[in-house]
Amino acid sequence: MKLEYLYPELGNLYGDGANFRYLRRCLPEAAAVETPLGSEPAFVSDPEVVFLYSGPMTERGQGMALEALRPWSSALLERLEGGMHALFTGSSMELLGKTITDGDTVLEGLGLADLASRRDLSRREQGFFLGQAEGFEITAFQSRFSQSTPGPALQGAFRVIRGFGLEDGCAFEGYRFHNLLGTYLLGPLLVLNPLLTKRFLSSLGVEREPAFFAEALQAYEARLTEFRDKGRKPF
Amino acid sequence: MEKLSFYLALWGAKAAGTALRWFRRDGSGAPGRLALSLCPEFLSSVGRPETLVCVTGSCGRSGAGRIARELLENLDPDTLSNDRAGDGKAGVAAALASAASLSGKCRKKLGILVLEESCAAALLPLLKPEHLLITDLFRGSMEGMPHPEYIAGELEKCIPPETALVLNADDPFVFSVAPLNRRTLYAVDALPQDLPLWDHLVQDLRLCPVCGEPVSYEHRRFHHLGRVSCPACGWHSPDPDTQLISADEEAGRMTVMETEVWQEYRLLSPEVPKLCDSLAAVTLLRSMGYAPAEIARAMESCTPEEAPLPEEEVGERRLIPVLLIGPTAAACSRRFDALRNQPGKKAVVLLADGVQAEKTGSEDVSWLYDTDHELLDRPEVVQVLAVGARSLDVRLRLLLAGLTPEKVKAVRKAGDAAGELALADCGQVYLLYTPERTEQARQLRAAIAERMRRS
Repeated sequence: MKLEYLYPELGNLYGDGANFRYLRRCLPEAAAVETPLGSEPAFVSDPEVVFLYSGPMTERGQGMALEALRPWSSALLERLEGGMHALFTGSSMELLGKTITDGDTVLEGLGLADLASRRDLSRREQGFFLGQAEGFEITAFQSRFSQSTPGPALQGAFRVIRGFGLEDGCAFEGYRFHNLLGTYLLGPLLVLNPLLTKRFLSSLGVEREPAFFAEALQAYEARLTEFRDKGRKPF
Repeated sequence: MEKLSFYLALWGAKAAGTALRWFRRDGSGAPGRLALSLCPEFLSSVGRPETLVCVTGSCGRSGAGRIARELLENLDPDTLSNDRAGDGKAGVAAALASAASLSGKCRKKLGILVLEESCAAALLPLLKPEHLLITDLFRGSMEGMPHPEYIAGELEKCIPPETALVLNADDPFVFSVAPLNRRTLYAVDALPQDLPLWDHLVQDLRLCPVCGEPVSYEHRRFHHLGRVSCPACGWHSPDPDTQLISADEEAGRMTVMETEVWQEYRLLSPEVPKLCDSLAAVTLLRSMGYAPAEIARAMESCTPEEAPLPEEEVGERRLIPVLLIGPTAAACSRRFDALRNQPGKKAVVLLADGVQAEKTGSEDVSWLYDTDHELLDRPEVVQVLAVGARSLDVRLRLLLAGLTPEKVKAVRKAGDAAGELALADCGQVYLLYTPERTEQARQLRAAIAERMRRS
């Protein structure tokens, strides 16, 4: 079993690299590989890679990552269709969509997800997020200049209770594409949501509690109480 | 109507400032907040000094700004500053209101304003300083500036073309800002005092900003600070105009080289970050036209930085409060790094969460995962107490950093923290706190000292 961190030198904003490090702690038996920009990703030819992570990046980083990943998009699709798990957080989730528009500039995405993103550096959405997954709530944070319009084929990930969805008025945040979860949510998501991580591990065929589960759960429950408090504003 | 609101704002701010001074409660941006609430365009209308200097940056602005202010005040006692009012918009408004006549004209010829980075981006077009010092750029909190590339971009959009820049040549995000502006660059040589380099979680310049290939450091001090180059395209750190080449703690002197001329200055602190601050301040004054000997004389009267909460020896133990710049990764990592290099067994109390978010929202904790808590995973660190509203998150972070569960405790209320300290094993207690938590830290310090006396 191998876990791959794609372009860590780009996708590491907001402490989100801890999603990958946390998963490594949860799966000490798994090998880990970090693929730098310009290298062939391990998932392309190594069937042992069961999980791929990509984190939030700068706008310039998105452009670099897109061009680096583009030659491997067919391979990525094939692996995702074959069941490989993946988590793309923050702005990296836009890479898999159709387009990323910034004023007059349109970047072609990898076209794997039915999603069109648009950036506006004059408008930043940030605050906390409370959402509904299957059977439990999700707590996270948001900070972004982008919004994404889901196409009809896109399966949403989390129902919005408080905070922002993919775009203004969208009832859900994030998307699922086979075993890939793409989301703007920051936190880091897996660390802040031990029930989600437990579900994720189960999906990987590992039936065990995440690392420091009791402590993570305590922190999660305390935060949940705050996020549910109507006296506190999400943004 | 606009003029009326301006005068109401100005006179209101001046009256509030006077009242606060009478009650010895000056040192807040309250007069500035009042002025801005009465007249949002206040800063566009209030007078500014003939010569205005601004200082901004993520970690170094307070230290460099303080030294620069003292130097300028030693050279010209009638210098305006926002030293007591704060480095946000309200602090600037308070300082300018205080220095203004009743008609709004500035009565001071010289002023120095220290600005938080996002505030700098907003105010520079209004203030149009003659000189701007940028000390360093690091990631901030999610609410602030998420990445130094972004901060540099925002600053660059706002720096007036006629402003002379003083830039840290050891920070690639800083030295690249506004390349067409007149500039003076400073850098600190590799020094014996440098701490062993830590493999920081965050290193925001790994790829060349020109060609995108991996960069190489000739000398890296901290995160992305250092002398850097790109082997592929040749992009590299510029040569500095002023360079700190040595610091002699025993002699109390630091030596600064400018082309082939060197000058000794008083050493205010041997700690490397504070040496950087001193050099930044010296370079700023050189850029303003002051002679090295003049600056050196003024430096003799500068005071080393005083901690708001002093250290205390209680029996055989030391209680050491340490002010963190804010709940930001680089600031905390620096303090952890300094701490790990201090010998002796120690307990660490972390009182580093924000205050405002707790009242109205919920504080983002992502910065914890950019911070090198791994630096605390050492045999000499016998205990870490995470104190405050985010104590459970900090506890989790410390466990993920490798500290054993026996060493880590979450304490929700600061009042309970002193009782949870395992004093038997340690000779030092470090109390790390953010400015927002100063009052709590003061009380906690007293409680810890009392516990130490009784134990």
